[in-house]
Amino acid sequence: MKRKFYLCFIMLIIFALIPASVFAGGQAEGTSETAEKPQESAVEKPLTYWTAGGDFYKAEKIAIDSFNKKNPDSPVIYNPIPAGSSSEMIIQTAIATSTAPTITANLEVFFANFLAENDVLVALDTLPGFNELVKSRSSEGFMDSIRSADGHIYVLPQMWTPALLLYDNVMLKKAGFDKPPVTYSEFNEFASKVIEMGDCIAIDFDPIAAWWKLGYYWHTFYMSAKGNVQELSKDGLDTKSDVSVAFVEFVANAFKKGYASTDRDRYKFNQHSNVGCMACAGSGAPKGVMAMRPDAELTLAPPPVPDFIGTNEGSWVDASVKGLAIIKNSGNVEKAWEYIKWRFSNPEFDLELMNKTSLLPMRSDLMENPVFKDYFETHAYMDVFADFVPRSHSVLCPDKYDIYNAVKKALWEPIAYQKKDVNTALRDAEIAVQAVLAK
Amino acid sequence: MVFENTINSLKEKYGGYRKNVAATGSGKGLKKMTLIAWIIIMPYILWNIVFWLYPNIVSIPIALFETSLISAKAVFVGLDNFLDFFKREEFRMIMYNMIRFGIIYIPLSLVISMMLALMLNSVKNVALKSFLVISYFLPNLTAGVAYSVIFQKIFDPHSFLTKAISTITGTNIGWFSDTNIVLIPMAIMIVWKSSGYYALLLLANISSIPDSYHEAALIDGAGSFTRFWKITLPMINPTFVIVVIFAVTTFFGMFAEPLMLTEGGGPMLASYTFKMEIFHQIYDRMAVGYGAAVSLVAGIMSYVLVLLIKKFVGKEV
Repeated sequence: MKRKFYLCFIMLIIFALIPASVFAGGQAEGTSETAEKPQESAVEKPLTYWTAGGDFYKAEKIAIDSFNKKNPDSPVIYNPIPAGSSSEMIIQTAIATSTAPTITANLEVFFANFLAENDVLVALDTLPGFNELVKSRSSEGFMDSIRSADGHIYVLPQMWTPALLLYDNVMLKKAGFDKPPVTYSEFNEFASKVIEMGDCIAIDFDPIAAWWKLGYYWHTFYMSAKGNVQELSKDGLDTKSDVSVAFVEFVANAFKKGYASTDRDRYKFNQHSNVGCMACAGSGAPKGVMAMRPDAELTLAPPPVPDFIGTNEGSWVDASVKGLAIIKNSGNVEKAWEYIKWRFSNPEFDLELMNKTSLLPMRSDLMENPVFKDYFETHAYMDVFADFVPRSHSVLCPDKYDIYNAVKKALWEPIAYQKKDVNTALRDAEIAVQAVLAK
Repeated sequence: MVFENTINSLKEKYGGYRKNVAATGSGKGLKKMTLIAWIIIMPYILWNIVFWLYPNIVSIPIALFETSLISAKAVFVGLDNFLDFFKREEFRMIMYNMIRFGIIYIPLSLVISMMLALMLNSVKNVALKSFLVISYFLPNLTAGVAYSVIFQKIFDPHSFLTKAISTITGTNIGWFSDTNIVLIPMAIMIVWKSSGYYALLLLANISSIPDSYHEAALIDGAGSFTRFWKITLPMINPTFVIVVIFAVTTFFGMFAEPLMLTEGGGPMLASYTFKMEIFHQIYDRMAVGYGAAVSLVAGIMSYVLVLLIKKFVGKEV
């Protein structure tokens, strides 16, 4: 009986190992053969499109329904991206299991570049009419900010949302400030007055936030001081410049003196009136705050800068950039491009997106184009964000996720919990980033 | 002493479960019983083969490669994925968290589930008992994401509970932001979810203890605690060991709670778990081989723990 059991067990292991070995072996053989197979069988597939969810879906639905009305023979079949902890996770799982749609939305540029490195996406700038489309949207100035390392463009941004600091006017006034602080010293002065108010903090800076938010902080504060320069590239993270050191010292000081708190649930700018400012506010943030605190008075501003910089006028900030990409081998590239061109040629659909989501599209003519005039007249704060659209961009480094996570562990959390001094944290962050890049 | 004698005499009279079966079951009847038992447990065995054993075996060769979810390239790296994992801070923190979580969760869940089981056993009204049984089992069916949101409200810094504790202790409590206490609310959440289920397992065994044992002990003057300690606990040992195994291995399955409440295992990895690491490697970093290696380490560790529990706690099972 025992022998039979062991025999069955060994047989089971062998049967399990055969497909697994084929999987591993097949992968090791190379890309070309496996990559071409789906193309042949996918020619007859319908044109499928995964849009972002929620209000974004509602806005996109208007465009797609309108397109389908005009093209009843080849309609776009659309669905929101299936639920998951992140759309990136869902999309890559779909690609791995050959269930990806032809067009997918909600792709960050760095992630699209990562997918492009794996030969999964279509280079949009090789498709006919790309340059004309970009020109018609007054978007030529954005192209360098979304170009992949190979020089091609793989994602067409639907939204381009700058990040700013959102101040509570009441707090500013109580602290004796008419306008938001410009330098770190001014901010610290404001912060010291805020904490005197009792159970208040000056800045909602979350050290255990998700990687993208921590990236947002660094990128925005960095560019506010340095202009159109990326702190993170394929060569690594700038941890040595005066601006970087001053920024980390500023944050460390904030946690040390209680201007910021690790108790992230106690001090939430959008829920409670005990926080001076929110360190990472996209264009949807004011609406979100007003929904929770209808009496709140808000002011938007770029982040403060080190004292030796002195001014944040004309500064650049980080932007959350997400857009559409076409998955290779779907057999529908031409049809997909036809839809994308049609959708992006019509500013009315950008307006729908703004109305439904409070997100801004990638256009430098937002304030001049008559289509958007009424929108900015009736939606408070949005003009400030629109002003920053041409002066914002996202970090493109394909290792962004790993790097920001490494920096979170090596620098932000130890700084916030006061486990490391600034120099040690910066040195550890540099080592951690280099380790990521070495892989 | 008199009580010990009574127990011994009763044990001699009734014998253990196995003795009873051996004594009463004829050869044919026993075979039929065995067949029925196999049929009953077969779905569970199949489930484990298909969803536990098979994936674990399949992941062995995958763990030896460096491969991504979407890339067609795979590089043979031998045991590097395993060695790399053992060297990382994440591994040390997972081990540390497992011990800390176990110290809070295991005794708490065992005590509460035992109390619930004893309480349910004392309920004589059938309708009330059924209602309570269903009520206690319901949390076990609740999705982790759903109850995490509810407990997030309960442990919110502005909630009644937190304010009350802060008033008593004189300090502000950040349940999910303090590295020293973040596992306490998580343990409480999982106790809420699992103790009803454990209680039902224990109840099934407690109900099968013959009343005569307790009656005899009562005549001998044994109190409630003595009867529990000398009769109930030894008699439910097999089920108790299963419950202990479930409790000890709970940490290996923790995922929704850190994902929902602490941005995936923070602060400073203080609530990081095996499943978070597997998820992080496979879905965030797309390192399928590495994720497979971590899952194998987790699988082997949980298996070793089960063997140790059976060896030291479940000698009679």
